[in-house]
Amino acid sequence: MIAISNALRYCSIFLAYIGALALFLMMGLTAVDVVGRYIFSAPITGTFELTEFLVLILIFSFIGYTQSQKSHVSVDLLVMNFPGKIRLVIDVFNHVICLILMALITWRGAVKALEMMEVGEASPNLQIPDYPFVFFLVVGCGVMCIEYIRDLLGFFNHSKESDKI
Amino acid sequence: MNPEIIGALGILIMFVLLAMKMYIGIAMALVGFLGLCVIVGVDAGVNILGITPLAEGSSYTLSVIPLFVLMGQFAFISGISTDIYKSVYAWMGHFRGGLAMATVLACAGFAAICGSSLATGATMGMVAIPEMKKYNYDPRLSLGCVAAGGTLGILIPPSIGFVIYGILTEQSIGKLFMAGFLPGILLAGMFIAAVFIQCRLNPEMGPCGASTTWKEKITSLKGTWGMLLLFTIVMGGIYFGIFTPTEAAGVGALGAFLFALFKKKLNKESFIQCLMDTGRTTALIFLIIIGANIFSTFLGLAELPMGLADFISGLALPRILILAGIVLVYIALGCVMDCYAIMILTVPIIFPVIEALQFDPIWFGVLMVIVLEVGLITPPVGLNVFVLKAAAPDVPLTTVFRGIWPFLVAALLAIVIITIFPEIALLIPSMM
Repeated sequence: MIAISNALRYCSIFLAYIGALALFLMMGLTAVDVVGRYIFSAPITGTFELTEFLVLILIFSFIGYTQSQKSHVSVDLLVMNFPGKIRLVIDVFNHVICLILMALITWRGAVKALEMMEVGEASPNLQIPDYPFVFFLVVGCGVMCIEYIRDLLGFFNHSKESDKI
Repeated sequence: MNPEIIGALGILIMFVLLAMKMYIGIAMALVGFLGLCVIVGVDAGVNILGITPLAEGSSYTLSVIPLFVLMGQFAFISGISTDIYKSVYAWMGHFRGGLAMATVLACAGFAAICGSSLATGATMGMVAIPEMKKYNYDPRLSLGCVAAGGTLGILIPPSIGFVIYGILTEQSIGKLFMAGFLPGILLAGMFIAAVFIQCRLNPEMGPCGASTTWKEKITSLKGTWGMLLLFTIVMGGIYFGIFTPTEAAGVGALGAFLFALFKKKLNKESFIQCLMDTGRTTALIFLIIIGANIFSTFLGLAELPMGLADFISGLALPRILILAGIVLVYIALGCVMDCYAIMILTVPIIFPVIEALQFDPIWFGVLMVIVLEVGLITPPVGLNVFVLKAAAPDVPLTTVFRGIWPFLVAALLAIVIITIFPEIALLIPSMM
């Protein structure tokens, strides 16, 4: 179980690298577009929609990784004073709820993606089909689910390997 | 049950979840989703879960957030903070408390190319704290001034705080940036005054640093060209309408990247670290934004914000009292919550009230950012203070918090001044 859990963390790390690449491309694209527009009066066609795709990739490739780094924001004011047992119960409850909600979002995302594939929606200028990016959202949310499951396993196994890379 | 009661119940449940340490974004999404299921039916509720994450996650406007965060990260890595500090130091270091004043000014300078308070505080902490230690500064003063100076990061443009406020309230991000400029200078001035008064009362706190010759003063200015150039391009571009804020952020990030390359501070590890840290910050902000959007769809259908606005503006109270009440609530929230989370959570509820009371939305944005800054340095969840703790591990947290109160007073005074003279915030945007 622990071995599987530790192996699964590479999902979020791998996705995060894709996101890092998207971020760098987004910076380059925006800057080159501006320079092209003002200096060579030749803007890049479709910067707007490409940026939208890149933001989508960036965010959904990082939400799982962010969870694995415990960087998502919560308010720790009350619970930190509770005894360990109660804290554990609350933590487990929280993560089960998170998992259910994220699983719902993943499922709805998949429905949406299939719908868009059916209709064949595409971006206005470059005619890039939208649905593969929506599937990317599904993958990202799926990895987030995996991270919640790993956290839940971690509550019962203190030997979970540290997530620092 | 009427929708308003469902809305109020929803808010209540959300606060219970938050107190239980549920992730803020998830708590909001969950309550919003359940509330929608109750008010308009399960189908609509389930549908929103498919629509909102996609819509918010692929928004061109929101892409400005990661780009400005990235610009700050590259600036952070480039070591530009050391240059800025050295130059201000050469001019002010020999005064009593001069190193602390120099720290505040250098924070203001770094804030001009970085939109995040944490990055500003962290980078200045690493540079300035060892220096002040060398000259036997009281740790209360040295840590207090870095923590306070760091908060200038979200007031002096570019600022992630203004970006989020602008998106939430559909105000011009460019105007908000310009509006933050003079109040940022005012606040920096107030912090410097706070240092000055403390050192007057107790000269032991901040002894004089080494004096420098005029030649050294002039040559030290060389170190600031990178900062000045980046700031001019980004802010000038927005002011004259050459770039949209997203484009300015992209150009700024590229500029900071090239600058870090030029300074030979960028290697494979630090480059990847910049991208990964930016991605992480972006993801955590977006999870909250997505949650907040589902939540405010629910609140909107429950007609709660409008109801609240009608109720409050119908009160027979002077509007300035209501404003004071709102500010106090924000300071209280700031003590326990992350500043972006507070903003995303509360603006959809509070903004209609502000509009109903006919306060200027741009001015309120400035006020709100300053109030949230106060939250960044108040116990028990003063994030800036925890970041500094890493730069000076031997100083107990209580000492840091004790060092901060003079700066808190200064910030509160600044809030009062900007309320009395809204022109301080509105002058530059009115000229755009």
